[in-house]
Amino acid sequence: MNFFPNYYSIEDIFVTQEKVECKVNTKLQRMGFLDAGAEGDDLEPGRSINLPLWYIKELKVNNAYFTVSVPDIYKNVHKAVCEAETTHIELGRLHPYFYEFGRYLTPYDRNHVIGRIIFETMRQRVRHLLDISKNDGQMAKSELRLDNIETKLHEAGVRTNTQYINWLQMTGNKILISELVEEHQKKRKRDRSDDEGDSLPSSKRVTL
Amino acid sequence: MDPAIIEFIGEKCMISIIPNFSNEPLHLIYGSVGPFRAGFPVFVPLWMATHLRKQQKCRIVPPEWMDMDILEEIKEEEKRSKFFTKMPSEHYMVVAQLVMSTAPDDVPRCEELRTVIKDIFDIRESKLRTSIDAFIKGEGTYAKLDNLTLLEIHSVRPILPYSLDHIARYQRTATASQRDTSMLSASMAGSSTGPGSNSLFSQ
Amino acid sequence: MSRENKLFGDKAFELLKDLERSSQTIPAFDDDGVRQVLEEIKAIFEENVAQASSYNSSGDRSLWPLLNYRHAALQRNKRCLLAYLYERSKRIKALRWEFGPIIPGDIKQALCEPEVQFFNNYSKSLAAYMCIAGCSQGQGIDLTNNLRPPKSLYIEVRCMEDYGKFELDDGELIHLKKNSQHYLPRAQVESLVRQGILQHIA
Repeated sequence: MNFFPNYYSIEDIFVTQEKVECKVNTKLQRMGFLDAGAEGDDLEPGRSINLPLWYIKELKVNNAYFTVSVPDIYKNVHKAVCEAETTHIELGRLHPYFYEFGRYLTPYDRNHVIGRIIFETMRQRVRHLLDISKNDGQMAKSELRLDNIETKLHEAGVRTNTQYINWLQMTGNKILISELVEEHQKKRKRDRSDDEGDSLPSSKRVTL
Repeated sequence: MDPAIIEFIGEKCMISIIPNFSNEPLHLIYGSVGPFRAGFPVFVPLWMATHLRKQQKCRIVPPEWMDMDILEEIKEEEKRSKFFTKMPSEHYMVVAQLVMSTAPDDVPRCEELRTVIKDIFDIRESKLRTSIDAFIKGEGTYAKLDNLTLLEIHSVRPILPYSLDHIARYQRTATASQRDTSMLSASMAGSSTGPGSNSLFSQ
Repeated sequence: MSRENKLFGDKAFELLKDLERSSQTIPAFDDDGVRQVLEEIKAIFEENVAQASSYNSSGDRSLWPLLNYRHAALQRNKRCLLAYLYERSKRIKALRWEFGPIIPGDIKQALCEPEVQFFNNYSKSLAAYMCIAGCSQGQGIDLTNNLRPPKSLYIEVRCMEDYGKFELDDGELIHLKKNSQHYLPRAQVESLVRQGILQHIA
């Protein structure tokens, strides 16, 4: 939801776990372990390897060791962005962290378009997000449509809308069981019925 | 904000009731109410009005604006106007909701009123969405939304401010990347190395 | 170490993934996972120290990129580990608000010893604060009560389980039997409703 990643942000740790394809520029001693296809101990120039974002973001953009190859997903939506037709894109299918992943890759994009693309895409899709969170929660049925951030925003919108509808129907005034307690009760019930299932006499199982 | 809390705030509105009992003034934390004289109208906070009404101790006098003609006019005006018109009460939805649910018998043409008020709210809400959309897609840097009531503002919270946060972040990313690529990388590396990271990478 | 394990940081990430995948209440503290991550950090650190000192004496920079990579991995491990503990501590705090000062045994088992202590200390701090917050009235305010504006002083409740005797502030004893219904002071029974013993019906 409100996403200004800090050190402890699990979301941000998930994003930075993503791998990016990089080209090796120079012989790197004893770093062959990064290349599944390497024959020796060293990393040879010219090889293409996948490196985690948490490492790449510590490197300078113009470092001497690796050149980051920007994935095609951003190039592929360029046309849609220009035509302001992004609402129909299944962003979650392109990349679960479409925006944040793009944000990290922006400095490596020599054409300077990724930054623009993620900015414009979100700008174009906010109206859509507002609209679908007015409808019931069903819209999220296709998880592939939304990226992670959009999903969070959508959930927040649905929650607001549910609260409002409950209020209109005057059903929001009851004290409710707390969420964690409810979850815990369900779990206990589940565990109990599992146990009962195990203790069923075997003869009964045969007849079933 | 949960509508229950907005309702709580709106319950401070004063409303007229006709009590069927007589009593000395009540001295409450935020002021005195009363005296109550059976059959004579008196202004009390909305929460007290609904409370007394539930105990059959009074009749609620609906506010002037809870009237078909006035509301129809407001609705037409709302449709015509490009901007949000001023509502007769900052808490029109809360007042209408509470009065009409606790004392439907005290409100003439209650069901019709309910519909027209809901219409007004819906018109304003879709207007709000349209203007948000225009604002986000336009080049403006601020939006002025006069005459929106608390409940209406909260119909787009928190999703709208959060979305705007994201848009602003990506806008900064986009402009920074076009201005100076290397500068951006320096600022990004610093953003989440966190406590205790040392200078090995800043070289 | 096997080849595929050499990217480092995978185990630490695994900790967070399991935590995220779990439901809201807390999964068991992954003692073994945490130990493995700490071992990886230690191993990386020792190798780096060794190489850094040989670099200092020889001035040979050829291992610099490796050193860099491993240092980033070390920081990554540390970040994942701290985020793991931090997220758990957030959930432990939520337990206090949702379950009250006593948490069910099976949830308590999921906590490690320092976490149990953390819960107790947090609970104590909260209690102390709630005492001070209502000081002028001579007694504290229970901040975990009245999370939303109350609409009435009394509420109608149905009992969901055989709870036994419950004493109201005025000394009246209520027998809470499964499926029995009662009309009770809201302030005194809110926590029972939140804990699922009573259900608010009107």
